[in-house]
Amino acid sequence: KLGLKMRVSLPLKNLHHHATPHRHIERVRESIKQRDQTKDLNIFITAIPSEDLMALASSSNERSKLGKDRRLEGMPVAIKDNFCTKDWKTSCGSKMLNEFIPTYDATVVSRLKDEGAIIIGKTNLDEFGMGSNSTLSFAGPVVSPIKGDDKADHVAGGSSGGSAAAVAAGIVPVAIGSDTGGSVRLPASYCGVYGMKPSYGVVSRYGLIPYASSLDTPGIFSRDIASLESVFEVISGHDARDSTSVSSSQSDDLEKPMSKMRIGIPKEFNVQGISAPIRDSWQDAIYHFHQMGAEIVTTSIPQTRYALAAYYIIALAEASSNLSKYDGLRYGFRQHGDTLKEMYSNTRSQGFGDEVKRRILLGNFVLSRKSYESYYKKAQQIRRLLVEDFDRCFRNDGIDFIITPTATSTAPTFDALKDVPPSDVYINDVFTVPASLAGLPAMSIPWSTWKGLPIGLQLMGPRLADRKMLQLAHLLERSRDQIKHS
Amino acid sequence: RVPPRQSFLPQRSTCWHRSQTRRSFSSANDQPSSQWETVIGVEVHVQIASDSKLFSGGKMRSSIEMDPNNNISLFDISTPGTLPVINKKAVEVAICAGLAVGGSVESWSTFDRKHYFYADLPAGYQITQKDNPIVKGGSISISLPTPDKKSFREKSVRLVQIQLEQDSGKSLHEHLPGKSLIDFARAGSPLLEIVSQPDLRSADETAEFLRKLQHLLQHIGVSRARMEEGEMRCDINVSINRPGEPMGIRSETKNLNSIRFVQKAIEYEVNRQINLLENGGKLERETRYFNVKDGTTSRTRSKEDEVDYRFLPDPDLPPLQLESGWVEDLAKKNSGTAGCLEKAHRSNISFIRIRC
Repeated sequence: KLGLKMRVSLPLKNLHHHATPHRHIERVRESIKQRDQTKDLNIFITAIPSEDLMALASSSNERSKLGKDRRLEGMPVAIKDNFCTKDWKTSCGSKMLNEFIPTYDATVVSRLKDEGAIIIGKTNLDEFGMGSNSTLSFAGPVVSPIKGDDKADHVAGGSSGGSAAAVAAGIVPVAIGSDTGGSVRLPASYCGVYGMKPSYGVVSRYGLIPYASSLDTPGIFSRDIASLESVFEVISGHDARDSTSVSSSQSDDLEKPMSKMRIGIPKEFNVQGISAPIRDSWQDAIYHFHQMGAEIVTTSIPQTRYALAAYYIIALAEASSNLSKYDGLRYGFRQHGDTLKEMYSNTRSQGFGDEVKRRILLGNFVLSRKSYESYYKKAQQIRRLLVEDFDRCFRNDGIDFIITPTATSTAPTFDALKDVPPSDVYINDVFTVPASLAGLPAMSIPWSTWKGLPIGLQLMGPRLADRKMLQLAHLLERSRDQIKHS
Repeated sequence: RVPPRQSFLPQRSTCWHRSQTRRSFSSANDQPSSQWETVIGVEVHVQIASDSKLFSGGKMRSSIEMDPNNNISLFDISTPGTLPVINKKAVEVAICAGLAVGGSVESWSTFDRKHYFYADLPAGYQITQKDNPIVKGGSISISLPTPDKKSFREKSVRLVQIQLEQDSGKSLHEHLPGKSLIDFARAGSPLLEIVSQPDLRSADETAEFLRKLQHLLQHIGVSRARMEEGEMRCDINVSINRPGEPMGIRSETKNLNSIRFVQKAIEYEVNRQINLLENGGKLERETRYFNVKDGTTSRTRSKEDEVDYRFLPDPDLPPLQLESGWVEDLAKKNSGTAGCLEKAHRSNISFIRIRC
């Protein structure tokens, strides 16, 4: 059994609802200080100037004095740099958009602002969301604030590494990322924070610069469930500007007590390559649920073995399509050419990094006339079968939630990554992509550490059971706090 | 009641590529060489008269207004992060067009992305309906004078489908030497693409079909369909074959914007193909454009240069499901349209006959 060790540099307990007025200025000031002190971690691509932040903090003050607090009044947040923020550069970690300043706010951003949240910066990421380590950014790699026993530099995970690190380093209590195949859950696991991916469609994608449209999901990082829940309530809900936005409300509460809960362990996730620390952590979690009174059930998701391949085919196909618009003509980086074709190819060859180009080429291939049937169409069929597998598990077998590891390992060091071929990096997503393909709510819960490096536990629930899942996570948080303090 | 699905009709590709049988109709009226039969199919693109673009609230403006790139919505220039939201009026128009031609209005249809790179296509793809269009089948009947000009013969021209799709921006190559100007005012405007089966047998039939289609569209308020204003444009697929033999290899001539040009292009193509074959040459599948100055067509692309559009079902748009009752309501509102149209069109024909 491994004990839980979490490094929290800034204990922020009294968050939003009943914070005293001058707390807003204090909070923001602390945030700025922490941001400055962690500059070498390269967490932010754009740091909003202090003066602007203090002005916002002051007006939050004024509101609080008048008792007019909004739901997130004065809460410092960080936003991944693929969400459009009006008048602030939104680069997607790419040379292509390094000078792109949107004239509008993403829905997630405007909903946060409308409730009084204060955006203190745009966080670093893998270019266009394509990566698992946040090492592939035009702005340079993110370094995890978690040093581990070896005191070496470890990656923060990706692609939302900057947002995960911002929370882990105590700069903000909450950060926004995006999860396409694990890009919120994986860095959450590496950095020892909560990372939630809602059900697809529950949070609007309007203003989230797309990587893979049928998979992209805005997600939330935090150090405690209460903050995560507050932010989820604010950003979720139907948006008419996003045609894939879900309109059904999910007001169901977790009614079952732990003693009636059936927790599923999918046998296909128990792969050979899981290292001992990860397996131990998983076992520990299973035991903990058992101690809490839940029934542990082995379940089966047969399509799991094809999920990774199906994911990459679909994601890369959609990516190649979504990135067709970057030609330098109307916005963004442009490289001159004598003909239109030349201008396009110069712009795109130089504006995109290698991994992005790799994925575009692969995506073009799977969509080409000769390959469409055998790759893309097949992958979508596997996807549908996977959805049916989960349906069977949750509905027919009466499983309430599934628990698995989030990542295949703890955060690697930069050195360890040097010799890994790019496509080998894809294997990191093996536990996270099934929930992405099926549009299920899933989250990583900081569970344990090994040699000082965090290991996350993944919870997966049935589609649209987001609130229930958060409530379960809340129960877990409380029960583990009790154990810690007993 | 929505007419039943005409699922027995072969798809367009089957007709052109795989079908070995030839449809036989009443004998052709004015073939240039009696040794050859002409087979023509048309794809017509019609601008829908609507306040907004097909997938954004962007305002529609007349194509002749000279106010380039002013007041364009973020989505229509493919600003990163923007998303399509379908325009209900455009869907209504498509339904009415489908009802007017007696087609099957599909209660479930989907949108596809058709990819190619060009300066006036801001997203690098066009949103169209390839696999599951909103209307399938249907037909337009045309009347042509008999050779002795004493009466009419009727002919039914079948349609493959009617689909909704986006228009591109406009490229102007003549205004500045060595440069092209792009105006995105039109980008994202709603178009109806009406695809016919290869049932037409002559330039006259094709002209008559297009006129009938224009009247129909004007009558139901889809569009003013004035070709010279760019509100309607036409691609023609032409092939020739000896009587009794399977359909020949077709060529496609794109972007014809007047009925007269359509007729000239057909005549030129038929003669070109006949000459080529009679002199022992071989025809290739190719794309051509019409030279307004001399009435000829020239090749733009051969089969080898064929663009692979990498079609992808659009992941930003869930399938379009029509509310039950909506189509029935529209059908009730528009009933009697077809009958009125026949009378109006017939009187136009007799007028033309007098002029001849």
